[in-house]
Amino acid sequence: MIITLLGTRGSLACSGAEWMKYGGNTSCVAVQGIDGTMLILDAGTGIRRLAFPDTNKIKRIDILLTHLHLDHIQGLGFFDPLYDPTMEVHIHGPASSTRHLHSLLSRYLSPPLFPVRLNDLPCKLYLHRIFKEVQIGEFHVIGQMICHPGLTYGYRVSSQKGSIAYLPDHEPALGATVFPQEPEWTSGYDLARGVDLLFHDAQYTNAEYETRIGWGHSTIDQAIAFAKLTKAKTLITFHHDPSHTDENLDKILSHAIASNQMPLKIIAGREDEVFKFL
Amino acid sequence: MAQKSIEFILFRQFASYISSAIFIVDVSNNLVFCNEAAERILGFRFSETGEMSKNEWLTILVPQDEKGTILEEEKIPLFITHKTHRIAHDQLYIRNIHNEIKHIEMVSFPIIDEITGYLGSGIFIQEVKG
Repeated sequence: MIITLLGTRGSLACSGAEWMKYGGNTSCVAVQGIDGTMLILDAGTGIRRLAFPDTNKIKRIDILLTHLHLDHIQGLGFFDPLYDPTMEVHIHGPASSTRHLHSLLSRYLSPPLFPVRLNDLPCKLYLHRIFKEVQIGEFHVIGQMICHPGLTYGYRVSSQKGSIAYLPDHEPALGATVFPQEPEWTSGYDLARGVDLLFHDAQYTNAEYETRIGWGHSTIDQAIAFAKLTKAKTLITFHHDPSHTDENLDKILSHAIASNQMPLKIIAGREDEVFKFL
Repeated sequence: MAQKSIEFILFRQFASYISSAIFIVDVSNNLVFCNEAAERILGFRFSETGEMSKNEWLTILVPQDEKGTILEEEKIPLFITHKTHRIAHDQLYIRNIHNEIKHIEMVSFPIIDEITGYLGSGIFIQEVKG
């Protein structure tokens, strides 16, 4: 299980010298199995950077979308395998009770927002409404709705070698008088329980959160509290606010580590970071 | 204990913030939450009882008619919702744990998700005054 961070920014892609260390691409994480299984978590602008060292080996890709906010799907139109007629691409995503995933994705992948229509993509494209759990190659994948405006899922991906939970947009503290609450009343708990790597929303500082309650995101302190509750082994903070420069992020992380008792490892998600469970 | 579904979690948070009396039952009619306003009518503190099985809460909350005859389940909105997965409404009386008789209105509605279907019910109750 090889996990590559292709985009860790939230809300809006950004570029410039101040964002070089952690990167400016929006949410995308590639998870590759030793059997060649290729999962991609979200299709933010980072998906464009996915490299295929040996394209002959990979003929199927599964993209798991957490939700359909633009920063999580914007890279789709620029993802080369969608234009490869020999490639089989499965997109798993949420559907509303009245609209199929095809219809929802077509709002972006059609003029005037995008020149190429979803129907015109040359790859072998399969769209799936999100499942509760499914085996994709060597990976056991569980999808579960979590607290974020609109229909939003989090994922747990496990292999025999390791497990990750991916909750890039998540506000489990919303409406909670005390956070964290009991595990059974905490959004996302089952997905993250005991995982090796927890990718979790940590978009805001405590001061920023005060004016953004209900926007669907967490503070770094809430992410740490959630990680402690779930007994995740390592927390990767994710969905960095576009206004947070590298210097800001380093300070926010240092301050959070200093002010929280840390039974776990905490790392700020950085583009190109690779984790391996082999 | 397994995590509750997000629908229950969000509904409980919503219920915690409002002064309308609400309680929530799961797919087996076990009581999984009631807010403070509902506690005042039902006569117990949820923080003390915690979750209760259907059999447990039916021993401390006895649904009855105006003559004190115990109601059959098919006449009680929350059981109608459980059976039909449809909204139900009626007036009834309950005898609570303090032996108080309360005349209440009850509106019960199904909590349904796209994948699992019926998850349980939300029940609004209000005392009938006068």
